[in-house]
Amino acid sequence: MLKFFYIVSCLLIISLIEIPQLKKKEFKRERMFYIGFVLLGSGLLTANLMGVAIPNPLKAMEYIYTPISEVVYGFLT
Amino acid sequence: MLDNGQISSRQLSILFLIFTMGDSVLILPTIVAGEAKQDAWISGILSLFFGAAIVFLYHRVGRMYPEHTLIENILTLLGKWIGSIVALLVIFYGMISIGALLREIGDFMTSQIMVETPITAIMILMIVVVGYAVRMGLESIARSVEIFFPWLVLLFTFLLALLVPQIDPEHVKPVFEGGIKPILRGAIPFTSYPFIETFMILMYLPFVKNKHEIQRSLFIGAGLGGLVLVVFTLLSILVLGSEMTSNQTYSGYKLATKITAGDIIERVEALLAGIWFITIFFKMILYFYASCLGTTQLFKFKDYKFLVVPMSIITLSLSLIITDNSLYLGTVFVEQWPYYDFTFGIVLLLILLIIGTRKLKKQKT
Repeated sequence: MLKFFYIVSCLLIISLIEIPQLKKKEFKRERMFYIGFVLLGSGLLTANLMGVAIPNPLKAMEYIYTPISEVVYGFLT
Repeated sequence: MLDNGQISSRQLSILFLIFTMGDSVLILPTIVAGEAKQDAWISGILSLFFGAAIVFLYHRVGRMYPEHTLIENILTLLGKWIGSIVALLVIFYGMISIGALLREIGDFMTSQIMVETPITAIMILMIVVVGYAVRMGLESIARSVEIFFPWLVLLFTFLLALLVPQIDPEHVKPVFEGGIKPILRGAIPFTSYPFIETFMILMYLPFVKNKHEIQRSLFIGAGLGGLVLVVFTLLSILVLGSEMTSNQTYSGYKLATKITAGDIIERVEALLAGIWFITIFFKMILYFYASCLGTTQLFKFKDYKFLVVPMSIITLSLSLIITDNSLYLGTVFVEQWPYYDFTFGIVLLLILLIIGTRKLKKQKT
């Protein structure tokens, strides 16, 4: 819980500094994107730190590239 | 142009040299020696030739539209829908690479130097520095690389000079023990990590001042960087032997612990860690800047700097997600990652080159 508190407070401080800058320049799409991205990232980070299992993108990569790797190694052994 | 900075061709070659060395200085000898044993240095020399061909490909792709970055090239040549999907995949490649590099540096620090520090602390410190550098813009990055470069040369020659007395020529024998096949197997990671991973340099080429000197600077950078890696692999084998090189996770670090000069100079392995921090820092910048700029160009934003904070949070969480332990990452680096690089660094660029040359020919006639 303490970790969660730390992360959220850090992000709040950073966002409070950054969002007004984006407001000033009338960047509406950028602002939405920024908020979405920060929420996504902090969600991932807190979920990870609290021990929730998140699907690993490397597993998908492993699944796709293992056959290719095996074929190449088959040629070279 | 989103970034008004311009870099000179000299800065480009130094940047490309350091990108080529990247994280490979410390971990590449281990991976290659695991496949090619004492012939790992022959794999290295072989992959220098492959690397030359790949760098030539980068130059050709960059020359088609000199004002376009890689993402803009993808968007114009592959059409709106396919182009957007491919561009997203390329950006994701950049982000997952930053995650892997972060993880690498965290694993190295927590297993070798600062054993009791939590890995997240080191990774947060690193990503903050990288994010700050990216926020400063391309010109600052290029200038800082010029400041760091003499130090790198100094540290590297120092290490090299002190390691020469430890060489044992018996370690490279027998040459060609297993024929050509293990050497080729070793050449796959040796080509992929230094040369193919740096295809993101195409995001930087439009900012170079003298466009006609790009080819020369790319070749100088890749050639020198590759040569450094070959020398390093050869030294690892000559000093440690192929068994020891392939058993150590960080063979370069182990190599530096071998340095002793008359009881005065001892334990200088931190110097090697210093070299590695500098090169890995710039390799992370390479991906970070490219991902931020690419996202900006894909979604047609007006500025890229606001993306730095969200991007660093996401890459930080990615680096925690992608692996539970460093062993898993190690096997992925050997078995799957080179082919993942290959898809983007060669297949995608070849497709772009073919479509682009056809389109340009059509415009001419």
